[in-house]
Amino acid sequence: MRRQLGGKVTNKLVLLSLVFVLIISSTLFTVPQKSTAAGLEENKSEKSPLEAEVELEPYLYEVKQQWASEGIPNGKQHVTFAASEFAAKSAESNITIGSYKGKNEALLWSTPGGWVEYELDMAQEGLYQIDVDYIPFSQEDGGSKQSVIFGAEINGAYPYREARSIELRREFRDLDVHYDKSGNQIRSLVEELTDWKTTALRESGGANVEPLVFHLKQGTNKIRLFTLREAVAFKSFTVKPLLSFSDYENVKKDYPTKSTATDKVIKIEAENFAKKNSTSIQVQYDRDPLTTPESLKTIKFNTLGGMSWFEGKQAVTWEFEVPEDGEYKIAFRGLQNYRKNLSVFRTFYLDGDIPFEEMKQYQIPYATSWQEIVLGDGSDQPYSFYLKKGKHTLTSEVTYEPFVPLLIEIDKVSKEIGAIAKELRLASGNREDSFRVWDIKKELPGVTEKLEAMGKEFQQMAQQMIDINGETSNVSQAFESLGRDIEALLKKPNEIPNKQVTVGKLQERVESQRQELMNGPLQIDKYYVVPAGKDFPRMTANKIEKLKGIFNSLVYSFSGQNELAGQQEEELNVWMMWGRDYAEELQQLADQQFTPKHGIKVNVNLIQDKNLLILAKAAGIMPDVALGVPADMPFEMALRGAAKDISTLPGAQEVIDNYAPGVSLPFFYDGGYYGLPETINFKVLFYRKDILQQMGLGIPDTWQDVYDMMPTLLQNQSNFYVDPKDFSYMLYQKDVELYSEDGMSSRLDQANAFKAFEEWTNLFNLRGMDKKVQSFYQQFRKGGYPIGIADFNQYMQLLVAAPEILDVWGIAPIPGHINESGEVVRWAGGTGLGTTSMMLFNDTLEEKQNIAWEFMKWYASAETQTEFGLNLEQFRGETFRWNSANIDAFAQMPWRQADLDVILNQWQWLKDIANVPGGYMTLRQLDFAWNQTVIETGNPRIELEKAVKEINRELKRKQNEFNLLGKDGEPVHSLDLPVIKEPWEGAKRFEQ
Amino acid sequence: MNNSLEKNATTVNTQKVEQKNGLNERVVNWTKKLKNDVWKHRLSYLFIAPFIILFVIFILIPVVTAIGLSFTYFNSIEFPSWVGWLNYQTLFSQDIVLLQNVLPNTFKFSLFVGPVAFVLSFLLAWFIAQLPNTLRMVYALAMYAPSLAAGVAMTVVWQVMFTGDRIGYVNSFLLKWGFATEPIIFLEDQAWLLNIMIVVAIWSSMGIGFLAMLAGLLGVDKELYDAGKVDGISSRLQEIWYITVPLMKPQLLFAAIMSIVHTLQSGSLGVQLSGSNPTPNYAGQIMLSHIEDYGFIRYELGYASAISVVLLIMMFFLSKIFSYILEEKGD
Repeated sequence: MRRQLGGKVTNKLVLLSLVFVLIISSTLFTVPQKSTAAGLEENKSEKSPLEAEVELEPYLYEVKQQWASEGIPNGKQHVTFAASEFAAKSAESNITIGSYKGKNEALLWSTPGGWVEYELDMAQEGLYQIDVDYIPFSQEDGGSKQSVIFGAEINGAYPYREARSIELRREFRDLDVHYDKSGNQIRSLVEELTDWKTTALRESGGANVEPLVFHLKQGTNKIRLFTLREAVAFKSFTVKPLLSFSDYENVKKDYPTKSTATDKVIKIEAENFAKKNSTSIQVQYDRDPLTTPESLKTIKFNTLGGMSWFEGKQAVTWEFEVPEDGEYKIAFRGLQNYRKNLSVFRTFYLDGDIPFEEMKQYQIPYATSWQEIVLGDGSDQPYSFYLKKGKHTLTSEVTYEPFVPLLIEIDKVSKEIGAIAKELRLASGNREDSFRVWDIKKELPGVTEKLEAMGKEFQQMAQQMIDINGETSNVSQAFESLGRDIEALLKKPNEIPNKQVTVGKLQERVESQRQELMNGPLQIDKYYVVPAGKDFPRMTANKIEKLKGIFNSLVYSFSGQNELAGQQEEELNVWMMWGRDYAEELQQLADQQFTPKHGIKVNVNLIQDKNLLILAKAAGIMPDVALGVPADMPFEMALRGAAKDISTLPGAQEVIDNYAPGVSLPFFYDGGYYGLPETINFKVLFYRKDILQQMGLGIPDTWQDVYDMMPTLLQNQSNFYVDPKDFSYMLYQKDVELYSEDGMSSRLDQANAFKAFEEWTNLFNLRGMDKKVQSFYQQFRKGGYPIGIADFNQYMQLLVAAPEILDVWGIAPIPGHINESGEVVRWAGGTGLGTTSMMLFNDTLEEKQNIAWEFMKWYASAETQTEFGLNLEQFRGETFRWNSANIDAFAQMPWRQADLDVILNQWQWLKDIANVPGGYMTLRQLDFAWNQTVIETGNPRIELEKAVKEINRELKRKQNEFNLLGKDGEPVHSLDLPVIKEPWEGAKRFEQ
Repeated sequence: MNNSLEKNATTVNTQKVEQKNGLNERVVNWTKKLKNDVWKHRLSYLFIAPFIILFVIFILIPVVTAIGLSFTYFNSIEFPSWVGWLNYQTLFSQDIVLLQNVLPNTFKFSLFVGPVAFVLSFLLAWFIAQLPNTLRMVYALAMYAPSLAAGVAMTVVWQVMFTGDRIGYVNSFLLKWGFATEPIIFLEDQAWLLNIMIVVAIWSSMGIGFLAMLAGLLGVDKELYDAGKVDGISSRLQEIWYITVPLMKPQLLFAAIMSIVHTLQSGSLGVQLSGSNPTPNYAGQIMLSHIEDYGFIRYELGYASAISVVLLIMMFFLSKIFSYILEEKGD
């Protein structure tokens, strides 16, 4: 009682003082407050047109609701029109009319890009679906294994977001089963099924099971198609009324009464499918005791899918034969334990059609181990399907349609948080000033209300998620905790402007739920189709079987593929310093292509550490070829006589000429090349179109342009990002060489080197760039750094992990310097950025030297690199983008065309750091000199002089070690470093 | 006389023969006896075998190899070639980095970390020894954990703590309370790096030595304190000085040697913290990172071995000095 009283008294005191402070502050600060509010409004009006531009159309789901409220009727007409009879096409589109794969008068769109427009007269207004008769170009005609993506504008605008990415899929089947020497099954090759196909236009994700709906007016409608990916041929389009599905009860009523005579159980092994519509879907092996056929001692692929079958619209089709007419029920043995407590959804088609409404989004709940899934109404009552005698197909397709309402919510909420974050940023000048006292209700009206509404929304979303999923899951819990975080923020509303990081985190966390919902992995062992009256065979293992299974997998885990295969003299031993996926992919390619041709077994081994090469040398178990070797290794091995000089081998010059001289520079030593570049890295300029436009800035072409834009950037509390320690562009662009031509001394003592070094350090001392940056990627997403120079890894990260800004960022060649002849030179390095190389060794047996070199040539060739890269990406996703150093292969990867042009442009200016004995000292001392100049504010000239002295000392010492100096310390012979002054011609041929 | 002479001669001769035979015999006998002894005590040898085998494999062979390699030129790929004392000559006459940066850094580092860690672990052990049993366990574990988890904690705790932008805990604290106006790049600034290394090394120094001291403290006979009180000890401080410390001599010696080893071995701290070897401007370069620099960046393993041999000798002498000091105090 007493404590409560005391509490009350202090509360009162606090309240009183607060009121007092409020009164004073409101009288004192009325005028400035008004002005900030006015300023805010100005800002808002300034940026509104920009925001409208970035805005995408609503989702189909929302547009459908709108149509329903407007009462737009379903169309009833059937209209077919030939693809060749277009009304107009764009000038740049590469379109011809011709015959393809057995159909005449088809529209052949041989390179993606441009548009074609059709005019269509409709007698009635209504909602229609459009079917298309199409065939994607096959590989020999310039296609790849990717699906076709195109957009469709109706009457001058995209009707909804999905219309931007309509997908026409290819279909594949696995070729014959193969086994390796020890009896393990090898992944089969895939073959594309090149038939003309007819499908309804559907979007690319898995959001809509049903075809896209188009609203066509009465009278003339214009339909304009844009291809975005892949070459394709169209024959005809058919405008049709929408299909409707009746539910199970209605369908069942119409079943004929004739019952089945036999009680044969039809078993379909999932791995023996008829076709799949993505090469990513793979057969897998599983050691569960009931999985058939068993895969214990040796690998036998006995299931399908899992983590390779999770993306929307990925579908697999099986064929089966029914002995008699009658009613059947279907079940399958499935494993759905990939994402804790989250359901996945599949659409089931029988003979290409969805049999009834319930099969559109069939829910498969989470279970820790293999489960028996009987297609039924969820209460032990299996559905029966009426099947006629003969062949049938069963198709299962990934969908996440039930989650779409949530995904739309996520989008909306994420955008709202983004708007609040922006408002906070503008109000605070993008600076958290903890000494500033905020009155959020007055200074940022509406923010707290918005947050409150959002908190409630999150709670609703959590409930909605539980409703759809059937149980709590990570996603629903994430929504709940987001709601609680917002509550916590609202407890001290005036602190919110100082918690911009927290607000930014909220957005990230919401966004990260999106992928969780969209992925739907499921592994299938087999299907059973049994007559309606009969029971299914047992599909889940009992305790004893499980125990046996655990024991088996333990025993067999000691043998087989987990063991680093022993080196065999008659085999070609390849060591690869990449992940398992890469090694497996290469092993397959080699088995398919290299071994048959050269008659030698290739043994690709996975190793983790470059120092293993050194240890192997000591132990005398060197490989014949090493791939994925860090770029500094070939030189170190060459210096000590372990690496093989590639340039002396037959046909070497041609291979070396394939690479930009700046890229193969690090592998040069004393007249020879001791390695070949495998992957490259590059630096390009990243920029946010939206933010730069808002600030009224363009894309800088030279460093002078960068300096001119710096004040504006700094005024807007943002900055230009450069990697503080990267000197390559500053030195190289000012024509500074790191070493003398004979490689014996440093050239950093030249006048232009001092100038360049000063310009480099001035970026931080004078221009105000940041000396230390935690994560450019995060800051770029949030807009803190709207522009900056970064590398390939950054590019992939932005491409894959930042979908919300995908269309508002771009890349450009990095800023250059203007040389004496008035040209802009853009030299930049890629060294030290994790590039890899391939190398051969002197220890390889004489008779294997040649075949090892053949292997390397085969691996480095554009064809192998292309196939390797494409397979990696198609089977394993975008993050496996292969940045091959072979420019022809590089250009074949599925880049965004505009980005590829920029990268190839920058490629000709690639110039890595040459290696000389003791060369590590150059990097080290430049780093120290930078530290001394920028952090300790030393004099750049003095610091660089000190550095040069140290570099030369170490070079001498190392030259002594490797007997490059005569008795009196004079160089015995020159190392003849290649001089690279001109951009590489090899990249220019890609310019269009 | 003759006889005796002859006798003498013969005895000398026979003695010589006997001596010769005796030497052989004795060697044979000795080996036989050794064999017999070994066989007789085979069980004892079996008991020490695990230790001996591990000791030979992980300590004796590497040390001997390192000493051997330190007299060679070995670039890790080609076979080592003999160069005599050249590496040691270079070490003391040419290696500017060693003389200018590494030795002073090592000196400063060990001067702070060694004694402070030693005294601190004694004090902490004493404090913890005063606690009741269960609490004592918890605290001892809490103090001991950092030395176990040092590697992981480095990236999770200390790098986050000292991050060079305003997100880093220390920077954020300094900025918040107005001690700094802009973030300090702790881990790259040469004025800070070595000091931070010292702090981290002390934090992680409560290792085996600390446990030994704790055990020593708990092992002191309680009756001695009562006896001391009778003899006129009036404060806890006197108790420690006159009773506890003398009785804990062996543990203190052990802890001291452990402390030296720990100090000289935590050289890679700087590399871990700054994320680069060499540390910026050699600011946090101490013996161990210097060895790594030569061994795995410059691939001069012979020279790197020479440095590690010097480090070994330094450790040896330091521990000798400590045992001398501690032994004298006991007498």
